[in-house]
Amino acid sequence: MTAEEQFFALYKPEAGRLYRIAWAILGNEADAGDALQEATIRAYRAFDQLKGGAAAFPAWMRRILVNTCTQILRKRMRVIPVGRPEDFADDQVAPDMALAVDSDAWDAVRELDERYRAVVVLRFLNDLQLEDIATALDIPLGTVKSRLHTALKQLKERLQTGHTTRRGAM
Amino acid sequence: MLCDQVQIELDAYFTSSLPPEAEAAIDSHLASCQGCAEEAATMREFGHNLSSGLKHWVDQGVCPPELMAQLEASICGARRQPWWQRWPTYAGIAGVAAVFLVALLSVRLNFTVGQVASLPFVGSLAAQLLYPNAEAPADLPDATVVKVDGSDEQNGVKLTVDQIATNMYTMRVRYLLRGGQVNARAIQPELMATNRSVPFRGLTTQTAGDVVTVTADFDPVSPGQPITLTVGGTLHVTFHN
Repeated sequence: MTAEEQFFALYKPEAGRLYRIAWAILGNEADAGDALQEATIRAYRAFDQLKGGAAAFPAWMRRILVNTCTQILRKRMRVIPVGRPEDFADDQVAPDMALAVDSDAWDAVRELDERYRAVVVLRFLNDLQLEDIATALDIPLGTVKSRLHTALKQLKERLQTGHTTRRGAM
Repeated sequence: MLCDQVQIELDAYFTSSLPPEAEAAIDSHLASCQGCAEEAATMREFGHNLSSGLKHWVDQGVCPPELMAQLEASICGARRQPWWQRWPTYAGIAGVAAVFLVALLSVRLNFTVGQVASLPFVGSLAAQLLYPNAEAPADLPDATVVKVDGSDEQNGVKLTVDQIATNMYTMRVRYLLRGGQVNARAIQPELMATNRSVPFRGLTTQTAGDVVTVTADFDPVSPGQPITLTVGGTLHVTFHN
């Protein structure tokens, strides 16, 4: 089996998940495809450096993809000249709302402002620590905390009131 | 600690990534503030459900077939790396070539400059590199010139043979003597080739400081034979023409 065949034997079962991870971080399918392509080439070129064999591949591939996506996000965020999204937070949230998240989670998260969405996805989908999110996005730790706090409030409100606009998920 | 501050720190609190004193302050606040305690419980459950929901959505993902085909094609393209990523290979080849050239220049070769120069394509360049100062004497037409770097030293006098020029009629050996008293006997050469004495014809000398350069003519010796020059009866240098 050639290196290419070995790579794709491990890669193909993960491709759908990887695609959605990129989509969740970057917010749209076109950018997700570009990021996945870049990450896949990086991974293939570094394939001989994979430690731990087939079992380690999914986590290794995800790390490469998340790094690729956050690099893209950093460049993108540098060119968005807007005020702090925290300034637009809606604090009118009831504390005892129903937690109707599950299959609706992505529909609610995708509606968030990009800065909130990225923090939420990195924290709750990719399980990054807050310090790691701050490093990945090149923002202060305090900003990560306040964005996460605001994003969760918005998500709870949307999931409670059913304002989430459902879009067809693949 | 204010309620807003506590609520912003809740996620870090849940993941135990706060310093002990900050964690203790939140513990203390939650114990005394019912609103924040309820918010903390809600947020913990909400975060858990959000994480499960997003992971469930990801697990259901399918990579679009056209993107998968594009990815496979891009891997095929990635097989051949651009030249700047292959430079170590080129550097390796250049290194081996450089080592070979240095070795070539450092060994004692038996080829005459004429033989080297007659090689196709690179012959003249190689002859220049191997024999940078090899010029046939004007009075020895069609001579081939070989640079030699043989030396011997006895009693403070150093003999160095540096060049042999040979044509159909004459073999001219140029050698230098440094130090000591250089007189007619001290510069007198004898030449042996394959245990045979080579007839001596004559010599010229040139003195610069303590260096005497001697140009001695002998009968020609066929190429490739070991030749031993003895000067003053005590200094010996063996070389090939």
